[in-house]
Amino acid sequence: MLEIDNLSVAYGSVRALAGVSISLGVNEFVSIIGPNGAGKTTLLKAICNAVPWQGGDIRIDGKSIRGLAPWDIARMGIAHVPEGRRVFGQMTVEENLLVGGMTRRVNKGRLDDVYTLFPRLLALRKRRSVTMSGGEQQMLAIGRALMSKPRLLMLDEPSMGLAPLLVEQVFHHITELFKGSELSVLLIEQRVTEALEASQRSYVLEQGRVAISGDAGAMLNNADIQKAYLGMGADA
Amino acid sequence: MYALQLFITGLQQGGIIALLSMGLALMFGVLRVVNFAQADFMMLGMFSVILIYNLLHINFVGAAVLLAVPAFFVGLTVYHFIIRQVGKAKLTSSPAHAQLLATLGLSLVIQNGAEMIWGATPLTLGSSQELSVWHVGALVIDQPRTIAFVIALGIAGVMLAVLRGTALGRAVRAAASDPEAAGYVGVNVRLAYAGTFAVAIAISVVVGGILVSYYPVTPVTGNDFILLMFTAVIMGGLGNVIGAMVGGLMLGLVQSMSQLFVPLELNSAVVFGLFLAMMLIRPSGIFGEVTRL
Repeated sequence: MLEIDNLSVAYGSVRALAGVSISLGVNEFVSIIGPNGAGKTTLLKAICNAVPWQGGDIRIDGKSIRGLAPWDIARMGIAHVPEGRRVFGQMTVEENLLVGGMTRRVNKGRLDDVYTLFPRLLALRKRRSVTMSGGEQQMLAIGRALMSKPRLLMLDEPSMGLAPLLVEQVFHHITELFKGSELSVLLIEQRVTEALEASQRSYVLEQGRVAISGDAGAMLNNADIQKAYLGMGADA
Repeated sequence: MYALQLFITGLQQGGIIALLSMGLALMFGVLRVVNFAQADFMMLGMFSVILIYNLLHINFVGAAVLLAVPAFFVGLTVYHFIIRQVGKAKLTSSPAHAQLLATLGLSLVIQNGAEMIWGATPLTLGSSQELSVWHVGALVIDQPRTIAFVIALGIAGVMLAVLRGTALGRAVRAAASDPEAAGYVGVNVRLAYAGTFAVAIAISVVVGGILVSYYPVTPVTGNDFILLMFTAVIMGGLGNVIGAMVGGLMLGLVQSMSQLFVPLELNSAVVFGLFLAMMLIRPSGIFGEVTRL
């Protein structure tokens, strides 16, 4: 459903992405790993047209998204959980969720679905989201994205700044979400092991290029990746 | 009894300043645009109501309300052709600086344009409403001021209800809070910005329309208000609509009640003295400098 074809993005004279090609099918879970500054966040922003791209193309269901506004893309069923959660701090939990459901007429049922998924949000529904913990805000950001019943859920470093126990919880939720529905997932992570374990296929981005790609399970056992990202010496 | 009389007058004047300031705060809270021309749109509203009244002889309240629709479209036009373009043009390090200068320029153009059309002599709404008062015991309650106050309160109430309790209001608040994240969840941020700008302009114009029932208008009448409006917005906490309302009401009351202690001519000194004291004690304003709509 998503094809990224030879995509190039530059911020002024700084190249962020140089000819990246990535594809993602319906009901597929793809992860993108790589070091800081490799262009992972830029890639997700480009898919939402939140940064201008200079070369290549991005297609959703075979149609180029060139010239569409971020909200148009959201309405195509693409939900983006941005880096740093970006909840609407002065609004309550429930208001955040309702904004997430703006794209379609959300019935009360959708709100209940999200509350069933994240019971903690139900308990905090009248709270202003700025007062919540990082983990709770991450749940809210994911819940807000799910309100629109997306076909593709894109997550940018959902584990960032969370305690290890919460990281596990967040990954658990994402895996459960993927299993239980027709949802496709595009996950960006610096936590390589967790990302590879959760996803089916993976791409390694390095300096704006795809360095390695393939089956996530195979990559988990790939000596180069272990050496570069998992802190295991190849000859250990 | 004199104090009560001053309190009522202050409240009435404060209601007008409050609503004007709320429009300014709404615009700043959502678009981060500091609009120096906000009170000039009020002045245009005042002249327009005189014009409509002389042509159609309809009640000034009706004329003011009627004006809201064209004012909204003027707001959309100004946003689309000036504010947005100036913001996109990367003229200054931050688009907000260029937009601020643009509104300052717009203010000069509107004021001088109005002078070309209507001249510099003060005009009043030639209606008998000006003189009508209610007597409640020993109190004298000015009718147009009361009507203006009630309308101002009503508009403020509707505005807050829409912001708090509707999907539209939530979308606007989301766009104010984090435009990028709002776009990701499907909020049309460009439309939210344009609509908010236009509503803020329409509010200013309508306030002008009801103010002219007792306040004479010249092309620079906006200058009597813009400083008070900014003072109210900053006192309430930048970008905070309810704060601006409280700030505006307070300024009206202080202006009026200060007559108990100092001559009328000094009421501005009291207002800005209070403002300075406030900035020393609590620089972030009554409700703090967070955007809360």
